Parts: sequence; C-alpha cells; structure tokens
Amino acid sequence: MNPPSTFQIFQKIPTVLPQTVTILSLIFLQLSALGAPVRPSGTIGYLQQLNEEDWILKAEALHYLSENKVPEALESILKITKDEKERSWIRSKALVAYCKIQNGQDIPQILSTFASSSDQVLREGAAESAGLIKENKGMEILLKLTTDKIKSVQLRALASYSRIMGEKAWPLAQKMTESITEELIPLAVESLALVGNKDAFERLKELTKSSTNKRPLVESLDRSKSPKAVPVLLDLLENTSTDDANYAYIISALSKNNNEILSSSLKDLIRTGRDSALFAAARIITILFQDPNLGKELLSALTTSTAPETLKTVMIALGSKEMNPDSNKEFFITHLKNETPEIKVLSIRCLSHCTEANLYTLLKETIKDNESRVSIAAISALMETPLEDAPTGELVSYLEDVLVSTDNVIRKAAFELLGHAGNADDFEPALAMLGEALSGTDTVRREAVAEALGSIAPDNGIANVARRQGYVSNWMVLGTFLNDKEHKAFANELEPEKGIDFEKTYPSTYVWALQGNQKRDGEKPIEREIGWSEASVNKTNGMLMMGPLLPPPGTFSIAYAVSDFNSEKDQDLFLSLDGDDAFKVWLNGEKISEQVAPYLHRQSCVASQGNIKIKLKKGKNRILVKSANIEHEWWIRARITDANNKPLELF
Amino acid sequence: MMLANAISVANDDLWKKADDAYNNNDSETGNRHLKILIESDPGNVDLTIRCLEKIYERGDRNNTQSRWMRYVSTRIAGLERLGHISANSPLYREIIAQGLTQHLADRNLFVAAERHDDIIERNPYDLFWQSTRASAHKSLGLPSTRDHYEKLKKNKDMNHPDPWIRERWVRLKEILESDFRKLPQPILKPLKGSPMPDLSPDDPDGRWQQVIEQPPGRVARQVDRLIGITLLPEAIVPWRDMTGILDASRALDLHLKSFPEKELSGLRKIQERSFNRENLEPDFTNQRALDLFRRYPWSTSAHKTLLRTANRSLIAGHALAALRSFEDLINHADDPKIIKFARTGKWIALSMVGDRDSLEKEIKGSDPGQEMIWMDETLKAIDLGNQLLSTIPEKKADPEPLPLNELNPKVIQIPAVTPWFGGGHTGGMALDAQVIENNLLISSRNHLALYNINDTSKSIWSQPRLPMNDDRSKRNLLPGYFIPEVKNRTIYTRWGFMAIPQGIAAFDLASGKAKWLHDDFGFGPGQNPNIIPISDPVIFDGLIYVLIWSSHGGQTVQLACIEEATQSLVWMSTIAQAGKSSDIIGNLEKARDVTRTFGNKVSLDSGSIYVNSNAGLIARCDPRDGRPDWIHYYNNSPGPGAGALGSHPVIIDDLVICMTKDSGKVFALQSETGKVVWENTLVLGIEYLGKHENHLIVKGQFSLAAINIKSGETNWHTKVPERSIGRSQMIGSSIYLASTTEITEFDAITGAIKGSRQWNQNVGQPLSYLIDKNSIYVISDSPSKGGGIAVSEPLNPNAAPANKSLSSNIKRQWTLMRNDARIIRAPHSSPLANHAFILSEGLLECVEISSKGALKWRRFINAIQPAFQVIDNKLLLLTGAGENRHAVAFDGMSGKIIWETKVPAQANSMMKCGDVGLMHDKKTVLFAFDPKTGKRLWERRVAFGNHTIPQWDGQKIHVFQTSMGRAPWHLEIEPKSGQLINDYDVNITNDGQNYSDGKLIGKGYYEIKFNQVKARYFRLVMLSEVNGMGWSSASEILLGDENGASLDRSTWRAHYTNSYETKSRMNTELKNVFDGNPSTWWHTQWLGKIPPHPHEIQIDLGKESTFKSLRYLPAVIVNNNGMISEYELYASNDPSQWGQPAAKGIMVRRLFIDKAQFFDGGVVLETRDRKHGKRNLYKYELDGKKATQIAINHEMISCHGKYMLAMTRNEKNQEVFAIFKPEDPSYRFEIGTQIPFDRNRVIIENDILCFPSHKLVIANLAEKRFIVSPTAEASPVDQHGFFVRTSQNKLMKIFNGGNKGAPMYFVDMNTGNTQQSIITEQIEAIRDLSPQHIDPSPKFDKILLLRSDLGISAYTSN
Repeated sequence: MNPPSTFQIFQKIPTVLPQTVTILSLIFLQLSALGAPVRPSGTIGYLQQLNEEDWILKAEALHYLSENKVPEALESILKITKDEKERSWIRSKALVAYCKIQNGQDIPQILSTFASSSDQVLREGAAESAGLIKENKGMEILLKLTTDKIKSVQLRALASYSRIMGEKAWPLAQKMTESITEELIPLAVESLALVGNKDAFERLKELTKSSTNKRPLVESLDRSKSPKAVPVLLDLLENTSTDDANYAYIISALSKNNNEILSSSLKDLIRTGRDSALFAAARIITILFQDPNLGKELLSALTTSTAPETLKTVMIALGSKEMNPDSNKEFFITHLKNETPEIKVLSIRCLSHCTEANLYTLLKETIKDNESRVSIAAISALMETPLEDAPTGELVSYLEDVLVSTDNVIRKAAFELLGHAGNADDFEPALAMLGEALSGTDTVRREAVAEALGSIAPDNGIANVARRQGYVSNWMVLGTFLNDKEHKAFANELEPEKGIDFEKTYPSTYVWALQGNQKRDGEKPIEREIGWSEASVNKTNGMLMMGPLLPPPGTFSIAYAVSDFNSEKDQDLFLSLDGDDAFKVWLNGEKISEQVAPYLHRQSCVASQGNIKIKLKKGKNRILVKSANIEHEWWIRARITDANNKPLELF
Repeated sequence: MMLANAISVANDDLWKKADDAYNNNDSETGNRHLKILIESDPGNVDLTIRCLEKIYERGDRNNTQSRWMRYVSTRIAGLERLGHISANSPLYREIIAQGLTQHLADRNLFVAAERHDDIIERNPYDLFWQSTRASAHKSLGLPSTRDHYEKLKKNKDMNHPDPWIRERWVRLKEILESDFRKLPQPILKPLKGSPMPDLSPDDPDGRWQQVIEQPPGRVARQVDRLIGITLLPEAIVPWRDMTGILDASRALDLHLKSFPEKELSGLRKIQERSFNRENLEPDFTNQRALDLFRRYPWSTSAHKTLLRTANRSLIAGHALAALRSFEDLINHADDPKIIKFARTGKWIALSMVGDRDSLEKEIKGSDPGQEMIWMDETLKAIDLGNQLLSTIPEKKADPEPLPLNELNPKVIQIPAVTPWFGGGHTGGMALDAQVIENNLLISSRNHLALYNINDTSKSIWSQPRLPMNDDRSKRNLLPGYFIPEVKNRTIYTRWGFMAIPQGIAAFDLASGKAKWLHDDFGFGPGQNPNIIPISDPVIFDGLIYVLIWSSHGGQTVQLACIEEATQSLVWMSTIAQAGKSSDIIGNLEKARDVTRTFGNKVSLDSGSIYVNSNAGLIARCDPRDGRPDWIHYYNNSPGPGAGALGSHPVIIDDLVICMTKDSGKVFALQSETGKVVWENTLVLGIEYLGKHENHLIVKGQFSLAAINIKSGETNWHTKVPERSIGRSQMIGSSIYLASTTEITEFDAITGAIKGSRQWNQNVGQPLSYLIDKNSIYVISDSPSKGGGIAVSEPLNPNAAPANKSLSSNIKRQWTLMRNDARIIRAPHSSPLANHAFILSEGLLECVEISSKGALKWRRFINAIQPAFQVIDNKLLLLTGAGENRHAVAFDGMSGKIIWETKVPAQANSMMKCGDVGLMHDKKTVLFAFDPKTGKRLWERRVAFGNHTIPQWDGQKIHVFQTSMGRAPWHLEIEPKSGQLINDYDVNITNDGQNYSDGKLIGKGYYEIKFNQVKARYFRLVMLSEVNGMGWSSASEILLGDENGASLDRSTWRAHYTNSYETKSRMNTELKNVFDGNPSTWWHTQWLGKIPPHPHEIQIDLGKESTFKSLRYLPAVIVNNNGMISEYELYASNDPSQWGQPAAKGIMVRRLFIDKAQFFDGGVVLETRDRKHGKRNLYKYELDGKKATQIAINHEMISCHGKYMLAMTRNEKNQEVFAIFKPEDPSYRFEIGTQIPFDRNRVIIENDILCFPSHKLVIANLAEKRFIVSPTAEASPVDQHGFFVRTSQNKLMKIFNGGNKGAPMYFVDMNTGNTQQSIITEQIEAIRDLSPQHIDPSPKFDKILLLRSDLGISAYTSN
C-alpha cells in the first residue's frame, strides 16, 4: 500500500485512530527521512517463503517483498524468473516483483526474453512488468505486445500502457476493447478505468454489466486505483447481495479511495433515488464511511414509498454516533410510532445516540409498548442515558409498568435499570411497590428485586431488604483465630464454642500470608487479643462479608457469628445456609450443620446446605455459626423460611 | 458461502473425486485431491477459493489445529494479502482469525503481532479486526494493549443500530468493562528532573510529602531528617506502577539533585554541623566512613572521610569500590578541591577497571588543559588521560570469522559421564566450552575436562562429579550456565558433590587438581546446607562475587563477596527476602528452583554490581558493601521459553538489558534508577548472543531476532532451526545456530542466512560446539572410548560361551553398573533380539546379550522423556512435544542415525504393516511412514474417538473406531497411500423394540419410520440426549417419501428452534440441518448456560409433502454432544397446531464402547447400554455385518490370538475369570474366582494359558484342563514375582530375596513341574525387566538379563 492511500484511510476514521497515529506516522516518516533503513522485520520470513512450493505462498512472498521494495530479495527473485522448471505463472509474477523492487529505467534482460517467449503467460508477465520501467522505457515492448496474437497478452499490455498514458491511451483502448469475451472483461475494465475519460467510462460500465463473475472485476477496478472506478464499484455493490462474499470485497476496494471521491460518488448514488441505491449507500455509511452531510441527502431521498428494508438500513446509517444523529432527531421520533416493532426499536437505538434528546421524556410511552422487544430496547437505551436525565424520586412510577411486567426478561431489565439509574430517593417508593416480592417464594424474582433495591438503598436500608427476605441480618461477630489449609482449627473446638460471653476477650494468633497464600515455614504467628462486635449484613443478598468486619488479615482465619432472635411460639421452620469456605452451625447449643467446600486456589469455595429442619422454641433462640476461610472471599449467610419457602421475619 | 458467479468446476475430474471422497467420509483423500487441483492451475484465484472453501467446510473443520485447517487458513490469508479477497467477509474473517490464533498458539509471536497489525492496516474500519488485534496484543503482552482497549472503550456502543456492529460490542462488553489494570502495563514515560512524580514512597507520617512539595532550600532541616529515615531498613520507595523499588536515600538524592546547587547550601550547613557532632575515630573503617557519608551526603567533612577511604580502596586494588566512592563525591561535593581529587581518582579507577570507553568519554568531556593531581604531581588532564589510556589495551574488534566451510573441524569426545543429572532437559545437554590459550575447557555441572586444541583426541584431565543419590530428585532443574572463570591459570567455578553445588571452588588449570572449596559464607564450613550459589562466580580486583540463594528462614537472594587470596567473606548483603518489604509483590515467594538454580553471573560495570536473580527480580548493588541501589520486579508473562538460559545483565550506555530464565521477555532498565525503558515480549528469549551495532542479538524459543537497543523494537527476526543444540554463538557479524543435522551462519545485520554446513556423518548428532579462530570444536554424542568400560571389549572376558538353555541353575557372568537404567529389548523375532539397549542418565548403550557381554556402541541421548520402539533392525526414539515431536531411527547394530523425522504430537504406539510403519495413539492419529527413510507416507486424523485401533491383516489396515458422534466404524485402508478402501458402520445396537426407534442405515444416519403423513411443517422434539446432558444437536435431517427417496430440501426453511448457540465461533443455526453439509450442525446453546430439555426444531418444507420416514445424522462432536435419544415427531400444515405426535421413541439407543481389541478374525467390543450399566461383549468380524453378542455381563481383559480372557462377577460380587473363543460361541472355560495376577502380563501361547505373576495358574485351553489349578495348594512360587519366558515352554520366576540371594523357580508350562533354586549372587532388588508395550513377557533363551538398582546383570546356566 503506498503512503498516500494509507493516509487517506487514517483520515476516514478520525474517532478510531486519533491524533497519536498521525504523530506516529510523522515520526515514522521522519525516521525514514533520516535514512534508517525502513525494513519491515518480517522480511526474512518472506524471503524464506519464496522457497515454498505452493503458488499462493510464493506469490504472497513476492507481493510482500515487492511492496516493501526489499533489495535483498532481488537475487532470489531473479533466480525464480530464470528457473525453467518453475511454473510460468510464478515466473511471470516474479518478473513483476523484480521490476517493482528494482524500480529502474533499464529493461532487464529477462523482461525482453519473456516478451519474446513462446509462452503466453510469460508474455503476460512481460506486459505487466514493462509498465513498471521508469521513463516510459518499456513503451516499445508494450506496444509490440498490444499486437500479440493472444488477446489476454494484448490486454495486459494495454493495461500497462493505459497506466502510463492515461486519457491518451483512449484511441488504442477504444479499438482493443471493442469486442471482448467474457473472461477478458476484467482486463479490459482495468485499462478503461486507467484511461478514465468519459468514453472509456461509458464503455467500462457497459462491459461491467455484461460480466457475471464479479470478483475479478472488482479486483481489476481495485488494481487500477482509479477514482473513476468508484461509481462502478458502487454500481456493483448496488447489484450484489449482502450474503455474497463479493459484497465485503467491494467495500474493501472502496475503502482504499479518498473521502472526497467517495463522498461525491455516494451523493450521486443517493440522488438517483433508487431503493437499491439508497440501501447500498446506507450500508457503506454504516460500515465504512461516516459523513453527516450524506445523512441529509439520504433523508431527503427517502420517500414515503420506500421499502421497509431500505428504511431500516437508512435508519441504521443515520443513527450511528458519527453521523450527527441529533440533526435527524425528529425523523427518529416520528418513527417511534411506526407500526413495525422493528422500526420502533431502531428509532430507540438511534435516539439513544442523540445527545440533545432526553430519552426518559421521549420513551415514556414507548417503554410500555406491547411488544416486549420494544420495551426491552427502550430499557437498554435508558441504561446508557446520562443519569441526570432520570426522573429523580419518580423513577419508580416511571417504571411502574415494566417493573411489574409479566415478562421475566422485561422485569429483570427494569430492575437493572432501577438499580442503575435510581438513588436513595427512589428506595422507599420502590420498596413499597416491590417489597412483596422480597417475602415471596419466587426466588429468581426475589433476588432480582433485592439486587435492584440494594443498588439504590441508603446504607440503613440494606439490612431491611435482607431481613424482609428472611436473612439473618444482625449478628455479633468474633475473630480471627488462626486456621490453616487443612482447616484444622475448624475441626477443633475453640474457646467460643464452649460458651458465649459477649464481654469476654480471647487470645488469638494470625499470620501474614503473602501472594500465593503460602504460609512460610518456621514463621511464628503473631498474637493479639480479640473481642465480640456488632455487625449487620452489608449486602441485600443477605451475605455477611467477614473480611471488613474483622481485624485483618482474613486469610487462614476462623471467626464466629452469633444471632439472637425471638420466636413467638414453638415452631418448625427451615434454615438454609451457605458460606465461603466452611461453616458449622449450632441452634440453641445443638449442632445442626457442618459443611466444608473443597479448596480452590484463588476461587470462591462455597459450602451450602439448604432446608435444614429446625425447631424454634418460644422466646429467645440463638444461632451460632463458626466460619472458616483459607483465602479469597469470606462470607456467611443464613435464611429462615417456612415449609413453603416463605421467609419469616424473626430478626 | 460460495461465490455467486464462480466458474464451474463441477466437471473437473479431481473435483468430482474429492466430492466422492467427502461423501465417503474420507476427507483426507478429498482434501488431497483439491490441493492438487489448486496446484494444477496457479493464478486461478476463483478455482482456488472454491477449493479452499470446500476443504474448510468438508475437511476436518472442527479440528482447528489440524494440518488441513492450517493449510486453508494460511492460503486464505495469503489470498487476502494479495488483494484477491476481502478480510471483511464473515467466512474469511473466521478462517483468517483461526490462522492468526494458530500463530499465537504456536507461540510464533513476532509473526502473530505483525499479521494482526498488517491486517488492520488494510481494514482499519473493521471492528472485528480492531477487537481481534486488541486481544492478540493482550495475549502477546504488548504495552500497546491498554491503548487499544481504551480506544475501544471510548467507542463502545451497545445501542448501535446495526445489528452486527452491536453484537460485536456486546461480545466485547465484558472485557471492556473489566479491570484494565490487569492488562499489560504501559511503560511510564521518561521524566525530566526529579523522579518523585513516578515514585510513591511509603510515607506514613507525611515526611516525604513535606520534602517533595517544597524546594530543599526551604525545608533543609526536614530533608536532613528524612535522610536519616531513608536509611532505616524497611524504608522503601516503590515506583508508581509497582515495577520495582528504589533505595530510599537514592530516590531522595535524585530528587535533590534536580534542584539548582544553591537550594542545597542550607542542607550542606546542617549536615556539616551534624557530622562534626559524630565522634569520628582516627582509625575509622571503610564501612564506618561509608555509613557516615550515607547519613551526611552533603557534608564536606563526610566527603573528606570518604575520599580517604576511596584512596585506600584504590591502593588496595579494589578499584570498583573506589570508583563508586569517587562517583559519590563528584555527585555530592561542592568543594572544588575534593571534586578535582575525586575526578582524578575516578580516571585512575577507570583505568584499573579497564573501562576504556568510559575513560575516553570522561577525557573528551573535560577541559584538556585542566590541572589534575596524580602521585603528587600536577598534570594536565589531557596528559594524564593519555597516560592512563595507554595502560588499557585497546579492544580489538572480533576478526570476521572464516566461512563455515573453511573452518577446521575438531571432534571432541567427552567421557561417558552425562553433563547434567537426569540426562534429558528442555535446556539440552548444555555443555559450555571455552578456549584458554592452547587449551579447550569443557564444563558442565557434572564435569570439567581440559583438552589441547591441537590434539583433541584425548583429554589432558577430566574431573567428573560422581552420580549421587540426590541427583534423581533434582533432575527437573533446568541446566543453566556453568562457565567457570579462568584467571592466572586457575579455574573458579561453582562446585560441590551433591546435585546442587554447595560452594565456590578453584581448580588448577594445568592439572585439574582442586585448590580450595569455599562453602562457608560466614556460617562456618559446610554449616549451612540451605545455601546455593545460583550464579557463576565472577572474580575481579582479587574479589569473588557470587549470588546466593538461601532458603533458610524465608527465601532470600544474597550477594556475597569473597576475598580470593584468603577465601574469607568480605561482605554478604541481602538483596531481597520473601515476606519483607524488599519483595513487595511476592516474586521471591513464587520463584521456582527449576529456573533459578543454575543462573547467570553478576555483571560489574561502572562502579556497580548488576544482578539477575532469575527469581523475579533484577537489582543493582553498591560494590562497597552490596547494599541494593534499586530492585526491579518483573512479571513472568510471557512465560519463559523451554530451556531458557537467561543472560547476565548487559549494560550498554545508561541501559541495563535483562533477559531472565523465568520470563520470556527481554527488557531494558535505566541503570541509575532501575526504571523500565522498554520491553520486548515477542522474542521469548533463551540465549543472549551479543550486541551488534545498535542491536541486541537474541535467540528465542522459536526465533532469532535483532532488537534495537534504544527502543526494544525488533529489527529483524527469523526462525530458529528446529531441534537446535548447544550454545549459539556470535562472532563479528556472524551468528551461529546449530541443529542436530547442521550448523547455520546468519548475518547479524540482516538476519539472512550466510551459509550452512552439515555435521560430519561420524560425529553423529553433536551435543555442542564452539567456533574459535579457524576451528570448530564439535562435542560428539559418542563418548570417549577410554575410561571405564571400553566399547567392544567383553564385560567378562573369561566367561565360557553359553551353549545351554537356561535352567534352574544359573550363574552371574557380568554386571554393567548403571544408575537409574532402563532396558529396551527388541521382540524375539527381531534381528536385534540378541541385543539389549540400556538408557541411563542420558546415555544409551547397546549390549550384546552373551555370556561375555560387550558394549556394541554408546551415545549420549539428548532427549526429554524418550520413548522407544523397535522396527526391523532399527531402534526408534520418540521425543519432544507438540510440534516438535519427532522420531530418530538408530541402526540397532551400529548406533548410527539412519533418519530423523517429525511425527504427530500424539504418536506413541507403533506397528508394521508390510513395508509401511504405522504410528498411532489409539485415539486420533494414524501416521504412516516408510521405515527405510522415515518419510511420511500419509497421515489421517480422526477427530477424538475413544478408540482408534489399527490392525494389519497382511494386505490392508483395518481401523476400528468407536464413540465418535456416530456408530462404531470399521475402515479398511490401503497402507501405502492411506486411501479408504471400504468403510462400514458397525451395528451393535439391539434392534429397537418400538417400530419408530432409530435404526442405523449407513453413512452414520439413523432412520425412524412412521405411518405416512402429509404436511407442510414438521417438528422434532428432543426429550433427552444419549449422555444425559442438556443439549441437542443435529448435522443433517432428511425425510423419506413413500418410496423411501429423500425429499428435495431446496425449498426448506428453518421455521423455529427454541435454542442455538449465538456466541460460538461456529455457526450453529438450524438451517445447517438441511444444507447438505455433514460438517455443519445445529446445536442448542452451550456457552453461558445449557438450557435443559425438551428442545425442538420446526422446519417449513415450503410445500405440503408426503413422508413416512426421517433420517438423522448426528453431529460429529466430542462425546456425541447433543445426540438425540428420546424424541417426538409432529407433522402439520399449521405450525401453531401440532396435534398428536406422528412418531415417538428412541432415536439413538447408544451403546457405550469401553474397550475394543482385535483377535484372530475380528474385533471384540466391550459395551454398556448406559453410563453405569452392565458390560456385554460383542464380536465384529470385519465384514461390515452386524456385531454379535459373545457374552453378557462380562468385561474383557485381553485378547490373545483366538482366545479372549474375560471377567465377570458372581453373586458374591467376586471376580470370576473365564476364557472365551470369539469364533466359537459355545466355548467357555472358567479359570476361577479371585485369582490375583497382573492383567497386562498374561501368557497365552498356542493353547497354553499361564498366569505367572502372582498365583501360578497353568491350563491347557484346547482340552479345558488345568495343569496347575488355581485351587491347588499354595506354594512358594505363588508369591508376586518377576518372570521371564525361556525356551521350550519354560518359565522362570524370580523373587527379591535380599541378602540371601534371589529365590528362583523354573516351571515347565506343559507339565506344571517346578524346580526350585536360588540365585545367590543376586542380592540387589530386581526391577522391571522391559517396557511392557514392546515386550510384555520378556523371553530369554541362553542368557538371562536382570535389571537391579545396581545395573544390568547377565546370567547363564553352566
């Protein structure tokens, strides 16, 4: 790729590659100006690849070495051209590469040999190469080859000739491209694109239409690097299905042209008003080239009779951030009321890119749409909207319909939005509206509501949300006692298990475990005195995170948590427990559960036991949990429910 | 996706053949045809694209690492680069990305980086390539990664109106929202002035902040106090990015020096006053002066004191220490006189150190007329400079070496002592060689030897370290450098008598005699066993510097300085200790002894000692007492290349270039501060070869590269020859890399190959080499003849020839003492049957099995965990992993290497099929080669199966394959070409009881039948999967009309499915079930979650159609994932009203096949009908017909010819053993209950069965009669023991008997007669006698070989 075209591409995507690239490329240019050899570091690999048998790999290497003008390659390449056992096609490509690298004014001997060879493939190579000789010194050979007995050689020579002569080549090109068989059309097209005058252009379009194999055609147009090829490429694109591999190929070819040409050609295309033209232009704008000016053109070309596919494609093009969607805001708003859900969804997405639109206002009705996908798109758009647009304190009523939607997906998205955009002011109304889910038996719903409430709850609200779900939320905690990788201290009976006295303090030890959490051999544990302290759960999912509550470190540790609560009567209930890494539980002094999760390095190791049948006595009851941790996360959680999994607020 | 208007190739013969092969499930052949078609017409892009797409779709697509997928992806990428296709089309994106991933997986990192950058250069607008490049840069550990991610994050657009673009963003969501701190660190930009903005001192009481925020002139008193604090042991100043710590006082110093001199005057006054309050004793030590200077660096009196000690050091010859003191003075003093003295001192020190470059720079930088005082004489700077320069010999540039072919080869045979314990390492044999005057010193952990360069045939002396008991436990430690330093004809090296060296030793060069060993290190001689010298010692100024690892009381890296003359410890300094602040990120804790133990020497440069610990840190230390100036912590990503040798720190100008053994990167640090300047993560450095002009030459695991010293960028890179050996070398502008077959010379400027030279045939595969002047010394893999046991000489010259067959009376004839030996014996029929091959500690020896015994040949085997096979007269060694797996064939009689070839990574088992060798792994791979040349004939990969077992019938190869997404399969393959002759589905299912249960109808299809229906839609509901998992899948679905013909599917449309996987790289949409391509499939979601059954698919036939059968082709996926078990089929014209099912039942009633084994005439299969079901045995007779049942509720143990040994359980759940004859269903012979025996070592020969290993049982199977019954009374022979077969149906069974010798029983298997005796000489414990896979029941005729801990012994009968 030559430098100017690289630069054009940089221009094309200003947001993706900001200034730094330009600076870098300037530095790069400076370096090369200083005479440091600019030699891509992969050169040797490609020099070796020249020895591959396979023609694709060989051609790839020739291409790379010639594009990068690697002089060390000349010798090996010349050898290939001279190798009579080698396939003619490769030899011919080698000659082209040779001439490209050499970049000279003299005609290499081998070129003359090829030009007069009896092998047409070699003559084709000569025809291509002769155009690369400086100061038009290859002209004589070229002219001779234009009269070759084989048409493909002639046309190859014509292409080289046209590359040099430009419009002046028209008389010859006119004659030679008059009647062309289908397989030779791509070659003729290349010449005509290089000639580039109006007549040539007309003929080019004609030939293009009669060709059925697009790939070589695109390749020829691309190779011509002629700006005149752009409209032809656009024309081809218009007539190519998006499923066709050539579709992307045409876009790639278009990407190598500069913005102005692309822009003006697209404008012409749009102005035809054809549906298919609008579709093609809109796709290019989406994929390749964003120019807000074209947006206006597109919009004005869009008539009411336009096919839905085209409307969608145009909306997609107009809605991207780079197309200044604000200027088309009204257009999008109109389509919020379109009868097709798909278009509505698109409008929402486009509007979400409008910086001047308050989506909360615009989507107030749309969010309640009967079609779930519309609703969900609206919610996701609001998720990306600036928080200050959200109706403070009224978010719950804004979301009322979707928060209680029967559709799980919508509801979940709504909870998420509430959690994301809501704040403490929304907590009370949300609790009022959704609170019943906390004590419901639908676990998925309960957890989603709890999470949403958790993210907007003020500090003092969290324990409340946990409590309403039946989680034990107020604890007394004591820790830490030294544990080890085998949970030995977990297995042994420690002092607090023998009797609980919240006033008492206990001697304990700990070690600092560094990365890798390996205790060091021979290290003496450090002693300290510990006592009971109050704690309440700090997450709406009921988890009591032990780490922050206890003196550090939390690794290789044991802690105790006690909760006292009243039961109005003797009753049979169910206790569910989980924790990281291991726990033992006593109810009123009687051990009711013990679980140890297998140890996983630097991963959560969650032990759990659900629905343990418990008998509560009337009056005060006490639950004692011994929790053990090796490393990583450390938490416990306990929940009491009735036989129907309905939580009981006992705490 | 096919080209819309592609030219027609349908008529091409090869295309048709390929199609036939694909339809015949022979993708290998299909692919080969298409490859030929591509090659036949170079430049025909359209044809090529069609062929490549076809290979991609039909040929082994799921096996992304396969040869063919590599073939396709490299070619598609090539076409893209040539501009023939676009990298933006979905299919080519997929293929090219796969190829790029392959480069990453192969750790072909330079290429991976370049290709990603290259493709984005051409397609900058494509979000796919933007994200692909970002993730590639991330896995390459490039510092640019974070920029790419930041950019993507900035452009993130989850609501993009275009569905494809939105989906890409959704895919990226998680990673863009993740913690970017985990991405590779960008490097801190260089700062001018104070380094404090990039440092974050541990500053609990705000003293640092106070000092940093104001100019020192204003806070002089606080600065003075802070200086005191910086000297406390735990005061640390880490870099903001936690890449290291700077000595606190140094950090403060650098900060202060960034201010103009006048700001320091207050501080100078305060410090001077304080210094004067210290009572400096008149006879102060150097250390005392240093301590005072460190406390009062700005006090003039402190300067004077330091100047005195500097001069003292200079006089004592410790120029390095003096240099550092002079530097300190120049940097801190303001008294011009002191500066003048210090400068002079520095020049002298530099001349003593021999640092010509620095001295020249100094002279150039000073005023030539300036006066300097030297030896009480006032000299002009220029004169003094020249005088000093003249004392340093000018460094001569390396003379350009001779071309490879003109070098004079000299072969060196080292004694038969393996250079490193264990023998095989990823670091190879790692022998070092150096030329000292006329001598060549060869060094390794186990061995030092000296040769005369003019006569290398014999060593002058050799100093082996004898094998010790702890060698075995240390064999996984990677070899490293073991290059002794030689000065004044004395060799200084690490040494010690255990596997790990314990100290520093000196040897006399001339005689090889030990002069002294220092293992004291301040603890008292031999007192601290937890100390390991982890670097080669460096001797300088009469001082020896060595890096010490101490594992006592926390892992610690220490630097020790020992005085050479007295071998007394001068100082020992702790650089870092695990758990202390000197190891803030815990690198020492993580350091592995495997890589750190044999590390690199320290570097001395410009008054500093630079340390590469190979344990996560680099440090610079003060040569006066070892105190660290700074420590740099590196992370070990990318991981080190296999066999990384690391490098001592290389100091070039103000950069310290580092390459460690425990990380794959090369990086540069600022020498003053230890701050990172650049990093190159692509090279995976193994060896540092040197510097050439502005480039470092580094050999990486896969590449040789030149890296720009200033920027770390790669100037060039090229592939390293495969199977490289020995150290690489650089002389002048030539780089030498050697492989087992040749040595190659590269040009250091361009990386191009200058030339290569094959190793001389009689050298074999050299272990290492050294080029010096006009010679190339090659260390041969055949050890020297002399010393110990000589080759060809009898081991017991006096032994009488063994003419008698072995009997119960045997006598030891010879013993070959070998540590940790393995015996490899050829099968009895082999031409090598009279020889045994013994591998011990990397030495392979061939022993003649005779009463005299003789070593036929021996050679070093530089191979990691080698496996052996015997084919014809060749011994085949298999070694290496992954891409580097290869086989070497030795001539068994001479030990000569006949050929060497790459083999598939999995290949381990081997068989011979006529003239063809076949390697396989019993699972996926069949690799056929020519045993004469090792050349690959063909290779066939069958995606993972439970079993892929081949058998040779004299004409063709039968391959029996089970459990691979389809019914068991029997292939017949032509051995020479690998072409499929026939293939059969083996039907082993019970016929369904239900009319509508699936039946196998060939080509892997199952068919269900039902009453004819007429409908436009059908709906298939899957209720369960064969393995009980949650998913469902299908490759193809066909409907059969009234006549059984398949309905045309061109009008079919996917109407509905409840699930498919959207996130996979593969397309799993429903339309795949009627696209006619068996390699594409529909599959329910498996990423994220697995939705449970039922699953369903609904298909619109396009028009009302009549059908009465459905054919289902399961998807070929590991474990048959998704294979349909219970199903219901509905048909209707209205897809909202399905009514009653048209059919229901079980689609695939899968039998699990756990074992399959060939017997004479077929295959026996052990099956279960569900996961924990009963096991039944079937036989299949290789005829394409249904398998038939042999026994129910039996497990197969093994097949032997026409018999099979099986096991069942009786009502008491006891094991019952029985013999079956698969070809005779009526035959069953029960052996008995609960007999202990080694199931791999059962003998069935002709009709005789013998359980020899524990309880002796012998039976005549033809007569169903016991010769020795399992219920016979217990006898001493029934113990667990070793046995060998001897001639005439005899069996020898031997036990370990301890001091009394080995009891032996000689059993006649025809009669059961047993003779008892004892081998009195055999008192060492006997070990296993041969590898089971070659020789399950070793057979000896006249000579018995026994392997014990001592070695190998031979016995004969007299």
